[in-house]
Amino acid sequence: MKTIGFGVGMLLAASFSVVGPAVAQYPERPITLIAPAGAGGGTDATARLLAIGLERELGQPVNVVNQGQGGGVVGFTSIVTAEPDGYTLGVIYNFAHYSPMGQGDFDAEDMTPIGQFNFDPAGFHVRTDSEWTDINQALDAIKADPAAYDIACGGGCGGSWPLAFASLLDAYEVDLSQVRMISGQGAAAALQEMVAGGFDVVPSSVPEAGSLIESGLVRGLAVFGTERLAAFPDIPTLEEETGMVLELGAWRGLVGPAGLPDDVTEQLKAALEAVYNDPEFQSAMTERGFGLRWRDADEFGEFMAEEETSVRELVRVLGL
Amino acid sequence: MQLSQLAVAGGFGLLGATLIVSTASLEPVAHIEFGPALFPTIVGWTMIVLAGFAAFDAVRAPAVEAGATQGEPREQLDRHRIILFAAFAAAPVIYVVLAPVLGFLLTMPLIVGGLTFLASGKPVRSILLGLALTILLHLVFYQILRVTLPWGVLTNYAGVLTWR
Amino acid sequence: MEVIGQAFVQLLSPQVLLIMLGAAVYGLTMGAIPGLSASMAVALVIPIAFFLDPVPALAGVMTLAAMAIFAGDLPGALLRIPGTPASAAYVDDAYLMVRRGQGGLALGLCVICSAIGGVVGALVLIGAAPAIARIALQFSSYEKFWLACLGLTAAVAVSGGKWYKGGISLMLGLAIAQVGLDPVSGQVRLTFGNDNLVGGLAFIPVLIGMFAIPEVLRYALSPGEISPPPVQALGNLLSGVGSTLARLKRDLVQGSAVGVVVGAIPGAGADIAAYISYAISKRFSKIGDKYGTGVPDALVAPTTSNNAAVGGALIPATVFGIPGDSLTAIIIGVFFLKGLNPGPTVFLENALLINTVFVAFLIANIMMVPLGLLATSAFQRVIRAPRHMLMPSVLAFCIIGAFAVENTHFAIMTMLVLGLVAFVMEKHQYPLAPAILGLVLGPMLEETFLNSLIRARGNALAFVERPLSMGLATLTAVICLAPMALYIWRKFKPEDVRTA
Repeated sequence: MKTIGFGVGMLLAASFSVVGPAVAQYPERPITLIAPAGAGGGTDATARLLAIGLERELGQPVNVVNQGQGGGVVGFTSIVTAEPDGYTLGVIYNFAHYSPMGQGDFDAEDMTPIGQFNFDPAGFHVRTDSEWTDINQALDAIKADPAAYDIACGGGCGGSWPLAFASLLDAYEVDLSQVRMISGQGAAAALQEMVAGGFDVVPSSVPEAGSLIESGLVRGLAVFGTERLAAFPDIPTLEEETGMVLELGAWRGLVGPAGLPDDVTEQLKAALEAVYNDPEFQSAMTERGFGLRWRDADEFGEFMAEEETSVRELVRVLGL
Repeated sequence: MQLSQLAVAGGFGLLGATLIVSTASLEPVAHIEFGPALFPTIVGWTMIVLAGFAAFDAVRAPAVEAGATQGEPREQLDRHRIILFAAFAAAPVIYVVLAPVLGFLLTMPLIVGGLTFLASGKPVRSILLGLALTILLHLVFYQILRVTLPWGVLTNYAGVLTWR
Repeated sequence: MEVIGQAFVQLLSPQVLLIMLGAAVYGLTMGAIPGLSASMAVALVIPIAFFLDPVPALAGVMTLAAMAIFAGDLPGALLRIPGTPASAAYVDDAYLMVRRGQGGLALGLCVICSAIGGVVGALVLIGAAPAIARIALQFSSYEKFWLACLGLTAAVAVSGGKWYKGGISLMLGLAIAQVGLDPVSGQVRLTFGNDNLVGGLAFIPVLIGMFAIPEVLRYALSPGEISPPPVQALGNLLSGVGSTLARLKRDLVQGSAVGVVVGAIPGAGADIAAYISYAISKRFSKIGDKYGTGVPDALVAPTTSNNAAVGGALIPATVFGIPGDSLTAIIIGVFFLKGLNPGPTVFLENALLINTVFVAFLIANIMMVPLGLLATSAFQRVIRAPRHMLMPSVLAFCIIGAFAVENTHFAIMTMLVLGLVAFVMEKHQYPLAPAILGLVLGPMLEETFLNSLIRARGNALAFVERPLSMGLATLTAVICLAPMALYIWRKFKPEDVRTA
């Protein structure tokens, strides 16, 4: 295969010298896929799974580039400032908080949505020896005295998990301006700190807390999705427990910089959809604990715009 | 008095002051009594105090500078050395400026070859080293480890030059 | 025990052994080249690990991590450019020994101590991971704050010369760590309006800048060829190692213990372990005042410690999915990729695979002796290339090493600027090792201090309320005050000391 591909490449190279690259078919060279996250993390893993699929669909190498500096700000900035030629794409996640917090300068309209492929609901985690055994107790206690509890943000307090948590409290009419949210170095570190007696609540993805739940050190009170997770069938959903229909958590999708040419966007949409529907991709995602969720380009674009509005309001109320 | 020691101590003192001044306007966020300015302020003041000690010592010390590195004979600076020093110090800047335009494959031989030539005055050896090292780095980092090194003017040939 | 035997069998396939050998060569090469670092080497193989079966992929990554941390000692000893931050604590001692013609002993100690530390780490990992992980999990921000303070006291040990110059260097490291988003409120600080600085000054480019660039610039100022240290024959590398280690048994034990324990505490890791080990060894050594001038005693504890810490860091990582340091964070990423989800149940459900990984790590550390000696011998010959070819190549590796780890050209500028700063500092007798210590400890110190204060609602007593934090606070205080007490004791009771 390799030699054939290389032979074809040589022929193409020969044709460039005659007709020039302008009429060449996209994609004619390797694609850079920016992951605004460090190597080895969740976003990196999904980006690499996606890259394998896209490589097969598009017939060119798709190279994952990790730019996790500044909580991802550097990676996002690279994505939105890249040449909109389809050779720089990005795997992105909840980003609406960067701009109102003064950390970065990019909005949903700076990107061309291609599709969303992942959603992980947030979980509500407490120590096993916590007095709270269900989410209603916890919410009532926090509502009664919002300033009495320390809530871990995991990473920065504008991230997916703390904002999902804040949205829940907001819906429960807790006085958000009193809630004490404390930032840290990632969900794993926050969970460890909680076990050591530091925090009262850590909102994070359920698989991240999975090993601590299994060891009986952490209890999951609820999952912020519409249905229970297959891997954690004992944790009830928010709706079952509280009656609130909310879907909160972290999502990941594929975008390009704003102004991608239409034909390129169409090709990428088709490629992404094909990858998403590939059973191999689906099982690889599930095995690693990533939830699957499809939104096509239009839905994804609307979703990002809506989220931007709601998140910015929350950030203002929380005083971040 | 040792002027250059004094200047370095002064530089660190200034850095300390910069830390304090530029973080002074940062406000603590909600419910957090201790803001992002606390640590830079502590570090800044400590640095100023320590720089004061260093400055005091520099003023008191005899004007003869101690040998910079032990065992290294003090040699007079000639033009060749100054040019070589400037070239080595500028090389990363030149790379950062040229690589996005010319691409890694053209910039790196220039840097390595150029520096070797300046240092040795042997053109053939310099060209060979520049090319060989560039190709080695390209093969290992771009082709095998998939670091996206810039292509620059060669962008249109990236597809052909990348192994599948 | 049976499962350990099965694990061995798993590893004995030619494919796995070949991959481990390849990973070892790759790790030794990457670690030994100035400008390239251990965490970069591991991060860059993730795409390759993706395509391998779980056993070879995981065995390969473990081998790679073990080798790369050791190999960081080589350029440190031979060129005075430490390959990993963990080697920065004792770089002067190793380098000066080589310059003085004791290269065989210095390099031999690096190989053997690294292997011993690594094997101890691996054995603890295999034997006691779940038990130790439970203890490590009890470290809250109060304890971590005291641990960071304990680490800061090591600055005294690694600064030779004027104390205030070491202090300034430490403050510089702390200041560099403060650039970018602050760890507690997420506000942008010290960026001076430059968007590139929001991400902070990246650790690896700063490290490369502070050690490799001054070396290159020093060459430019005196470009003559200096005679390289004589190549040490393979046999020569081991002569004297045995008797030195027999004399310094205590340091070996101390290095292994500190390495495993500090490594296991989430957020600490191999770099801090090496510094703390160096400081402890210096304090209790009879020739402590000669540390930093090239004595073999200075090398044993920290080289043992930084390799033991790799095993230590894997303990909370495999048991709870909580990485001990940045290197382990990437390794855990590979675990997840291969469907080996860390957790206590992994020892029940996936016992064979996890034990295979551990055994692979053990074997890798044993393989380190022959492979490390070969690498040492080969690397000594490589650096005999004329310096007018060596130094431009080192600069090229620095450029690509800074870029590959951060994927931004800005990282190359970071490297250069810090290199120039470090060059000026060295010319004025400012030690550099404290700056790296400050850089490593800065974020941990600030975050744990502020978060603890916030949680305690400003009550400073909370820092010593827990038994564990009280213990660590006492230890820190003793280490800080002991020299002072000793000084006063000697000053006021001179006769007693002499007669005693």
